[in-house]
Amino acid sequence: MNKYLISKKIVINDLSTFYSFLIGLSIGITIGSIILLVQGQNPIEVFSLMLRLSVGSIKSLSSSLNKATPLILAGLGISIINSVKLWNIGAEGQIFMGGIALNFIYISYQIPNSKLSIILLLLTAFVGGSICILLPALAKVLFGVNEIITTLLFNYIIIGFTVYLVNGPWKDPNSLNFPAATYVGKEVYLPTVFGRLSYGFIICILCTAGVHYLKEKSVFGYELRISGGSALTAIYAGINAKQKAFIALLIGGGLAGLAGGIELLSQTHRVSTGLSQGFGYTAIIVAAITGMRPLGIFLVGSLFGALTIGGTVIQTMGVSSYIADVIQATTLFGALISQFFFTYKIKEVTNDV
Amino acid sequence: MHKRWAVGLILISILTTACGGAASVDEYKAAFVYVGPTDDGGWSQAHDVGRQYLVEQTGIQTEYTALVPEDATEFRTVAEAYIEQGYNIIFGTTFGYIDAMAEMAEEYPDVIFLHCSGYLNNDTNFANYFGKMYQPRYLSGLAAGAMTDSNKIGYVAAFPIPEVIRGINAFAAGVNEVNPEATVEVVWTFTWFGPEAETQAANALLEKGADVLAQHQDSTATGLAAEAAGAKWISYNTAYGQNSAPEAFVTAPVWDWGPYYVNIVEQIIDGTFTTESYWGGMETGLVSLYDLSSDVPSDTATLIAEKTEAIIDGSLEVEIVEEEFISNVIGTVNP
Repeated sequence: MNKYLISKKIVINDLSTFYSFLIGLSIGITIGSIILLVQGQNPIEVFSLMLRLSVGSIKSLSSSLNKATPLILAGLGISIINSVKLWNIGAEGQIFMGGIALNFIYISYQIPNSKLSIILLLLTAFVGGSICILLPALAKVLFGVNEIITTLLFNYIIIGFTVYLVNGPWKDPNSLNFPAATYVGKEVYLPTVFGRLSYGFIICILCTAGVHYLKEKSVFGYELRISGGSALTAIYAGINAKQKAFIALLIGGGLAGLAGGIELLSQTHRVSTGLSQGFGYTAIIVAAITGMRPLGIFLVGSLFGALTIGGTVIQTMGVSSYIADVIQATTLFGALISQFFFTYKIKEVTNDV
Repeated sequence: MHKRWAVGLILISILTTACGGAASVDEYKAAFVYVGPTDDGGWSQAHDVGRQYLVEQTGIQTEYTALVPEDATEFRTVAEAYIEQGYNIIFGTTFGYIDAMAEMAEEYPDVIFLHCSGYLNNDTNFANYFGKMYQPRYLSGLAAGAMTDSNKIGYVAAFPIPEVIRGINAFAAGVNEVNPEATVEVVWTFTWFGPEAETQAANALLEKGADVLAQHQDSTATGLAAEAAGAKWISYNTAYGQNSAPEAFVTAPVWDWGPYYVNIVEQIIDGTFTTESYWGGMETGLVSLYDLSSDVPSDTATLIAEKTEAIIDGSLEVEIVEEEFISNVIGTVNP
């Protein structure tokens, strides 16, 4: 009788997540092509348009990277929190809270419209995201309440709060009752680097480098790993595991809040229920398929931004939105499956094991 | 060398404009952007039926994208993909695209943007169009007022914007005319197309005793809820709902976009297009009340037929009230 053993590989290539995503993409394209052929469409035409309009010009490439920005930032937040073996399912709510905090400070204190204000406002968004995860974090470290449930439930609270704000106190008097807050001033829009690429993406690069350093190179990152690993080891090493977990949660929530602030100042320019298009949930997928590695999150998040834009533009060729969704989903599925083979090895074992 | 080329190009362009005269339909491609799916049995489907009619009548090349959220970046991504593929007429058929369309019209002066249900336009390439849906809504109110036994009529409505509020008031005015005892209760869903939210709202109204439901929503969810509860239902947008809720269906204020789309595209082709706001009433056929079901009492049916003629010949003007609800409506315009 042959038995098989599945074990984790000791050395994981840093680029493996990227490759696995590319493999997933080819699986998605193959399955997508078959569906398109059945539908009587030319897959080459469809996919070349997809490529051209998602990465084929400065304008489209920058749109894709703008789309990737909130995914990457929220993904980095999830990744930091995961280094203490905790899960943040609440990035969606934290994104909204980042935007809400920013707008609150902007309208309450009549922030002068200047470049310096932008930095202040983005910091506010970060703090907003941290505040949003504060209660789940306290509940976790004080009472051991499962953070998966609490962060998830906070999404509903915050989105409900957003609906209240944009229908009530913040409703734009010029919008004829359409539920959305008043636009922020043009002077605090995030400037663009080139094409449409907002400085938010530059912030995103800096954060990726920062989180990579924090997680992989710093003492703090080491302490986080120990804290998440074993309570006894942490005590032995003199590390206050609960304190580290608490800080990791606040930073992670803050990064998602920052994503909301950037989205507001660069894309939507106001608070509305459309501030996030499910970025907080997609970020979980991005973080998970990259094995929580910051550089992987950056690469896969960027590709994901392009894939999202690509999924939208192929609908302009008469591909139904349902099929565009299927192509995106098969890509993800393919990436997850191939990630498995990069991370684990299957070994045939003989009887004496 | 370069100069010679330039002179040649100028000559060619002069020649083509001189010989051109009226443009042909082949020079135009029209793209439609919808907020809901094209099989919603309601708003977006009504527009898509109009698009198909446009293709049949003019032969223009069209394409559409469904389920595009009311969000500036989403609309922009889709519209720019069309412009990239040579589309030069863009129809956006939901209110929330308004800011993105206004911005893009400035950015792309060679593309014509036509926005349904908005209030913005410019002098060159951005126009808005809509219909006086409150007219047939008033007529449907006459039917609803006559059909209710509990004197409680429910109204499932999307957003408290002027378009929706004047529709509710016109409907309630119709109810009041035939049945001063009856009230119209409004529940807001804050979504145009959200079958779950629509079902919840409809069930809440049914539980409160409503036996006739009307709607300003894009799906047929309200009708299905009414059918299940044995209540009556005034649909909206199209009459497709009579297949899914045959017992509940009474009638529907409906859209017929086809003739408008043909007309505006022909104007663009022959150069007579202007960016004036278009607001067509029942006399144009853009809006009408669908055939009444056999449950409607015959004296009510006669009344509705008379009022229909009066609206069309201009002797009856349905009042527009969009700042607040009239007295027999229960609900608030500032939820």
